[in-house]
Amino acid sequence: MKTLTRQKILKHLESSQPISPKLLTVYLKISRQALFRHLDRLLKEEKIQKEGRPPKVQYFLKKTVDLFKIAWKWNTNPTTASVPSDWYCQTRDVFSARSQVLLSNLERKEKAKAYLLTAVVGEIGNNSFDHNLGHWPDLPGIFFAYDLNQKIIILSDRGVGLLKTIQGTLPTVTNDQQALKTAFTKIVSGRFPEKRGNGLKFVKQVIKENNWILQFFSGTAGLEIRNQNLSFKEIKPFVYGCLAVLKY
Amino acid sequence: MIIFLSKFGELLSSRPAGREAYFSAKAYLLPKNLKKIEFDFKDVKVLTPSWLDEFLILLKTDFPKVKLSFQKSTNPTVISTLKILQLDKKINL
Repeated sequence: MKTLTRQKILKHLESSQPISPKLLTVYLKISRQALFRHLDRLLKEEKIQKEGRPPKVQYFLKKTVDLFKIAWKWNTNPTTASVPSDWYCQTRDVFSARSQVLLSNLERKEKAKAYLLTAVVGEIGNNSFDHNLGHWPDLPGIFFAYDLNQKIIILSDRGVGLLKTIQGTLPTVTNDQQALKTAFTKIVSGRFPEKRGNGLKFVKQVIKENNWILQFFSGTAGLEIRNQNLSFKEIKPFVYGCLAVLKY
Repeated sequence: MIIFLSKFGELLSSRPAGREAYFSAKAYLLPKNLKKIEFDFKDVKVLTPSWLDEFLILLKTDFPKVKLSFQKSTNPTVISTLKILQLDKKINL
């Protein structure tokens, strides 16, 4: 019965939002106490949002934001644009703190998956800082946003990109496609003489083992790992730095 | 000796964090004649290859002859990290 009431609230919001709690009690014919119990649950599940303060509070359906569209625009734009501060990690410290928050949120929703997802996010995000620190072409730091209802996590940087990074170690790599393929399939790192290069291989292994989807773009190259297969393609427009989309 | 990685945090990610953890361990935990070290992953939630690799590279540089072993863990990030670093044969069963 409780579930039905929450479904009724969501359905009613589709046609009558924003709406006050008073009108909702009239519509649902339930007590204020019962209504607020349902509203609290829907707020916790991030299905609705509220605005205002008592006595003028109104409820809306949670707006879904197309994070990929925002990240893509931010990353393919030749000039830098600002992003909401909640999604921007200028330094590794900020990224680490937000990864910890992600882990707590994921633990509530995804249980055991939470640890592997956070590990994948850590490897991709930290790579951006490892390979660009001190020589960011324009904006330092990364775009890091997620929507746990849509099960999507996006990481992006406006760094030097995979090609320039890989060329530091392998000058024979001459285009974005080769660089992307090398980064995901060979144990090689751009930070010569350090012996590194396991990060993206780890990411690939975890994505394949869990049947998740990863899209990774750099320059004119795109990679998708889906159904345990890797497919590479040429993309337009040019992606400055790297852009990773994780769907689980 | 046994080293409890949870003492460095429950989220062990990034090379700089691995390096920082190693230098702290070297200063306060590791004996000068370290011969054998066993890693305990109890209470670690997230371990990444970059963190562990950085820790082990520095450890191996300072103690080239040290014997490594790893306690068995059910945490999927520990299992995947040991696998990608090809250390899974050193797990104590």
